[in-house]
Amino acid sequence: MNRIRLDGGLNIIKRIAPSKGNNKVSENPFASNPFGISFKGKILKADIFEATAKPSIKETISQRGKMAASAIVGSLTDLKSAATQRLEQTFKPVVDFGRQVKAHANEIIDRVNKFDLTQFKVPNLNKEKAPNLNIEVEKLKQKPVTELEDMLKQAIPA
Amino acid sequence: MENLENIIEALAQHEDEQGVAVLERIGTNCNSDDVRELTAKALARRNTNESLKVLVLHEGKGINDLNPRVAMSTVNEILSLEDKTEIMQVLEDTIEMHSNEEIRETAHSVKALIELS
Repeated sequence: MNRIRLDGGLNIIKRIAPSKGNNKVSENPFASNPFGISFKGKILKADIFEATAKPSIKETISQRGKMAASAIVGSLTDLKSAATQRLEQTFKPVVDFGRQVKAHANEIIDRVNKFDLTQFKVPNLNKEKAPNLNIEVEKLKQKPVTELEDMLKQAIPA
Repeated sequence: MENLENIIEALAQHEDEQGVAVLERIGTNCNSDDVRELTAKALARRNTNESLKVLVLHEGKGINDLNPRVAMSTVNEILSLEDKTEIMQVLEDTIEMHSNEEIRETAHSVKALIELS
């Protein structure tokens, strides 16, 4: 009874195990060797193409340098965008102020143009004074010349 | 003084031509420089042949006054006239026909000033 049970357990393991193994290693030899390169009649697996020799120090440095350069370029790009954004944020008030100044300047220019069209009437004090003088002169002109002559003689200081 | 100025102005603007004669007889012969100046300026503003002749032809009156201030005030009043036709005619006649050389020279100078202004 125990053997039978053991066989049944092994069968169960066999059923499960291939399904797990199939996930890791494919039965198809061309799965990881798409070009089907063979060596002495055997299909080479993908592992064959993996570099067994360690890269030289120079190559390692070169690759790391490239990675570092890439990282630096990426950082610079981020920095540039950040700096641009920061500059925009910094100078935005200045730009807005400049736009406001420009708008105000245009408004002032319009007002100045209106001033040019406006004529201010400054009271002419001489002309305002003149009518009073003329009224007095007009009154005197109504008098005969002989009477004015006498008035002139009396008005002239001795 | 204001009343005196009004009287002189009234005589200068009077319809009666005798007003000019009164000013010539009393105003331009007055000892006061101020009265002579007011009279000369009023006669210049009248801008008639008779009133301008008083200022140009006679020695010691108007532009020929012995007081430079009175003479220059008269010249300035003549220069400020809008219509200078009459004064130019009087000045030309004076330059051509007057017997006094000094008066002719003065008239000539005033005429030159008018032409330059």
